[in-house]
Amino acid sequence: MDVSEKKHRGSIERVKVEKGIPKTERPHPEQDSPEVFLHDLEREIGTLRKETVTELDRMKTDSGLSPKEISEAAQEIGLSESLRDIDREAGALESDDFIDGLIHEAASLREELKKTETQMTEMASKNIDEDSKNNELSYLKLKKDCIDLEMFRNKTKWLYTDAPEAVPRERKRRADLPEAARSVLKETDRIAKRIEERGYDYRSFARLDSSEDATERDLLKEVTETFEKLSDEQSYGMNMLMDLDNEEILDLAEDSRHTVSRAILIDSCIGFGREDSVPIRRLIEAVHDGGMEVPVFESRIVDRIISDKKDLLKSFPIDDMFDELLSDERLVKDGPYGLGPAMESISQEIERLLESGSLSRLSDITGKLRSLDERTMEASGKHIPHEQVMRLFPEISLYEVSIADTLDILEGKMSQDFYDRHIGNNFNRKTSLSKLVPERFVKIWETEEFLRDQYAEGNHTTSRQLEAFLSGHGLSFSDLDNRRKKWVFRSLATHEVEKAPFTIDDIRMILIDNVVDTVALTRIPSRFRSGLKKEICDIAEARGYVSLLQPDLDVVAPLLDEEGMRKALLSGASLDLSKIPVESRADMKEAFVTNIALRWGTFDRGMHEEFFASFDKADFEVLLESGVFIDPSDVSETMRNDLRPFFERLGVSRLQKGYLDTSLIGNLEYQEGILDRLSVDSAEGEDLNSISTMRNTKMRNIRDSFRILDSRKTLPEAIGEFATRFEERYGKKGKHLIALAITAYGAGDPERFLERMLPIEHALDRYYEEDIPDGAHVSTGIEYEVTQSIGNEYAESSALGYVSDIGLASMSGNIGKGVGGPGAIYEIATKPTYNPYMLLAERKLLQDAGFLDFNFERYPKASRGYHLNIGGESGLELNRDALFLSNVLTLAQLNGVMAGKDVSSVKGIYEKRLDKVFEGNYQGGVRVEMKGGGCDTVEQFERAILTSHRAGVVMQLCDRYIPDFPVDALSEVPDDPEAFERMLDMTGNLATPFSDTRERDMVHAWMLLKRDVVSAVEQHNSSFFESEFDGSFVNPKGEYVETTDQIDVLRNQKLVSEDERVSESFGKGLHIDPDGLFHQPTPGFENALIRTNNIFLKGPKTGSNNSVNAESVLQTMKRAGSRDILDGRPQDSIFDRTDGKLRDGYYSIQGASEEMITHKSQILLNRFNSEMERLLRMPVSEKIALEI
Amino acid sequence: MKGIPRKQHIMNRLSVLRRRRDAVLSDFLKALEKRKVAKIRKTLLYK
Repeated sequence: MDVSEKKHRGSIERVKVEKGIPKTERPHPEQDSPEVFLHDLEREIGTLRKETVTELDRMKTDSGLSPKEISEAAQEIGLSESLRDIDREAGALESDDFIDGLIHEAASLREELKKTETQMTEMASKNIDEDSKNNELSYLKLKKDCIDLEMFRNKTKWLYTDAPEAVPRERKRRADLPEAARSVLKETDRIAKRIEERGYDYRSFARLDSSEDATERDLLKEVTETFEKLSDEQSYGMNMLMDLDNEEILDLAEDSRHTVSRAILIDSCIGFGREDSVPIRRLIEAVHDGGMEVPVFESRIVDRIISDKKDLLKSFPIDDMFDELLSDERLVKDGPYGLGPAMESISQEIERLLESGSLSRLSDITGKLRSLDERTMEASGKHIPHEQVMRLFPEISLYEVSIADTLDILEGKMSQDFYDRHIGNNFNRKTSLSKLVPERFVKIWETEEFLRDQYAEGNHTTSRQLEAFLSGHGLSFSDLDNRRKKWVFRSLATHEVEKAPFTIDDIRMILIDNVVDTVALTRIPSRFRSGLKKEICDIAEARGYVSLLQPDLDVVAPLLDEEGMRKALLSGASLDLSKIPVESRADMKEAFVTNIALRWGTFDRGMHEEFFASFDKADFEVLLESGVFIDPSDVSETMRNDLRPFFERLGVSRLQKGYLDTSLIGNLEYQEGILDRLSVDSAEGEDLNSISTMRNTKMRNIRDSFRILDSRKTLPEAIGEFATRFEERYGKKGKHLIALAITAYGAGDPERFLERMLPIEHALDRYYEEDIPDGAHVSTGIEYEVTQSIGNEYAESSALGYVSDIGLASMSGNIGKGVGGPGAIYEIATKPTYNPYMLLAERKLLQDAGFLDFNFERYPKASRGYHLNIGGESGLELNRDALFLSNVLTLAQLNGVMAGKDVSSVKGIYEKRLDKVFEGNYQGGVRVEMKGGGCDTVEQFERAILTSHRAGVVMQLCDRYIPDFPVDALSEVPDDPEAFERMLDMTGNLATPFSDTRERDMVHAWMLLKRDVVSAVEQHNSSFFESEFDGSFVNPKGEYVETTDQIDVLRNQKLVSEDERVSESFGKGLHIDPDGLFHQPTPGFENALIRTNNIFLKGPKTGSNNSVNAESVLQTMKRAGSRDILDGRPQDSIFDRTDGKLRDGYYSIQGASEEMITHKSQILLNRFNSEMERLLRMPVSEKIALEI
Repeated sequence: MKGIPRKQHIMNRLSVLRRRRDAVLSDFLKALEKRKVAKIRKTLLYK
């Protein structure tokens, strides 16, 4: 039932482990509320039911069987019972205790809230005596607060509450615990009674300590001693209370008729954080009904509420926090000292703002702090105190400052009072300030002050201000050399203040920097203009500068004729036309049309049409003549016809290399804009030759691939919908895969597109995240170096060339870029993915888009090697297992056919730090990178990836279960998995019991592979000649094996002469060290394989071309035990095969028996793979049986 | 050992149910197929 399963995988996969709330990202209560979740859940369950019914109906209809036959079939498998069970359990999910409680609690809270509010209204309108009315009202208010608070908790806590089954809760509860608690409470009551008998309140007697009266002090002593006697037991009682459950606590509350024991109960709940689990409201009510006086508790519980709220405030975004502080008087009523947590956040925010120099935001915050201070003053008669102020501004602690002073200084002002008190008449502003406040304050303060003065003096222009400032420091602008001027302009544009090249007085320069910085944000510096003229601004500076000018576009027009501005615009500085007032657009038009600097890229796309409305043909011609690209769709149809001759001259020939290279640095939206303009719609009917069409198509495909990233509306509806569904199911990776697919296939023919995606979808669904044992997920990715030969070949059909195309396609397709070695023009580095089929799909799409070819047909000279990265959930170290994997892939010809000349060096396998997987959390530890990966055909690549993925899973399991399995015991591994488990048990090699037989069987399959590959290598060393030239041998187990029926002994004997066979050097050359399987690959290892294979292969006599050999080997695939050659080509991928599966045979080297090492290792690896596939894809029902 | 949050726990249970449902349905499909094949065989036999 893949169909329905597929539909839902997305939603399940997207459930991520939540790890608490990050400080600044409080979940939006509405989004994360139980209601929303419950609604979703209800819908999911509804879908489950509905789907089941639909699916059943469909099956029944499709089967074409009679109702009787159908019901027989249903009975045979117990269909209705099973479905009823499932339905019942689904229903149980909705009525899960927790959810039930949640619904119930939320509903009753809402009910209560409503009731209390009504009561309050009623009470307020009642005409009874003022005191009791107030008392009652305050109780009701308190009740409302409690309900409020609980609602807030309920809204958020469920997210963070662990599922009970997942956390074995340690219950210290003993059977006699409630009883013991009760007796302690009773005893406490008894003592309290004695205190009260003497005329004192339990709560106030402690104050007797300071009593003047000696008798009273004696009484205190007596009572204290009595309490001390009980204290052990009492605290024991308190501890017990902590372990009681809610009902028991409430029982005790019902039971205890005395004030004191109830007080203790409340204490235990409030004091030990029980208020989360014992609803305060219920406790208060129990107490209230029992005749307890409400006011006694009021203040304590309000305290609690407030302190809770204060703690919560820390996690609020700063603005929300201020809103809360300003709206809830109780937070400041009991004096401002409790503002601690909030002030902590505020001081952090201020710190951050000072670092980033955001003055407006800073004054926003200080303004709010002022209001808060006023509020505090109103509510409690106190300012925010000195200690808190110091938190905002630790450096100022030497001075006696108020919050107002602090805020003044933060805002760059200084009150007269403060000035008089601390600085006095001998005020040397700079030195005093430097002493008083840290440098960053001086900067802001000085700048602000300076600018204010300047404005007061009428120096409104920046140039004047800058000059005034410089002259104030004994400098003039002309003193600055070009380098420094340049730096000033750069700081204008980029805010890069740290790398000032000035060697003169540092502080002055920092001040200049600040002025410049501030000024740049407020007014146009005419200096910039002259800077542009003198070309002391480079393009990047000018571009950054233009972006600074966004708000002041009305002053841009006069600058448009400057060369520097033109360059800035050309290099992608963007101006938002909508910011320009309509009335000045006409002037702008003049400037634009007469100015060749204008590029369409500088405008917001949506503005084009409106803007062009006022253009006449001559205007357009000027633009077109001057090389401006105009998107025909932006122009009215009449105009388009008029301008057709111009449009026809446009097209890809207009592409300018430099134009695009800079575009790669910019943002995606911008690139899409550029691609949009560059690609001419062939539907317009341009007469383009086929190369141009090809180039155009390529360009359009790449452009369209970006549409996946934002507005899918511009894509054909079918593809948009498909992409959305795809993303739901496969996450971001899925989305980017679609982008890559559009790059490869284009979005022009949706039907064909979806058809092509079908096998990909089919393959992706072969991987189920849930199939992988817990803790053993594996991520894989490859790196592939692209050589110049590919680039040259590719460039024929591309307008931009390989590097630009892949650069853009990688952005939409989220393919990484590696560093690349010498000789590489680009390195494709796919982002790691858990789903190995995703990697295969990426390879396919990259290949279909023409970026690589793993069959080496299109790019025969391309590099055949790739690096394979494998990361694991619990980490994959470079251990014997990893090395074995790498070597066995080589043995099995999956890293390329080993034939031809000897090699002199081989690539190793390395341990690397982990690259973060694109999404998901199954990652830990380190990863391994196999640099020796390589292939001759796609099939080898796919086999290697899938094998590595499966091996990665098992390797992690081995690490968990049998980390210390001795090397020499490998040959002892029995064939039967149960016997294997017994063996591990007996030898004490099982670190932790297998969690299920599936995982045990996986480990066993891997051990068998290792055992048999080692044994095959040993056999190769001892019996290669017997097996291949005599037709029989005795294997290491002592069994007689005959190979005559598989080989032509007589033919083989001709291949190697008798003399050669007995010569020591020949045998030595073929020797493979079994231990080498667990070490870094060596040339000797590979050469032995090459020589062995060479014996059977008749290669060309000259040259080093081993592709002939490779081809013939790869073309012949046989299944173990059969002489028939399998159908299919190694150049076909799983996406090309109708069954979507890899072929399960071995690449056959003509003349060699199945016992020959190259064959044997492939057969063994196939066995491992099919066993792993069986275990991973164990029928769902069986696996669930194991789980439950 | 760290527990998993409720929300995920419930969704996991739901997904287990879904898979069980699929397993049952696929068993059913097999049972139907079996009968269908038997029926076709029978028809062919009598032809």
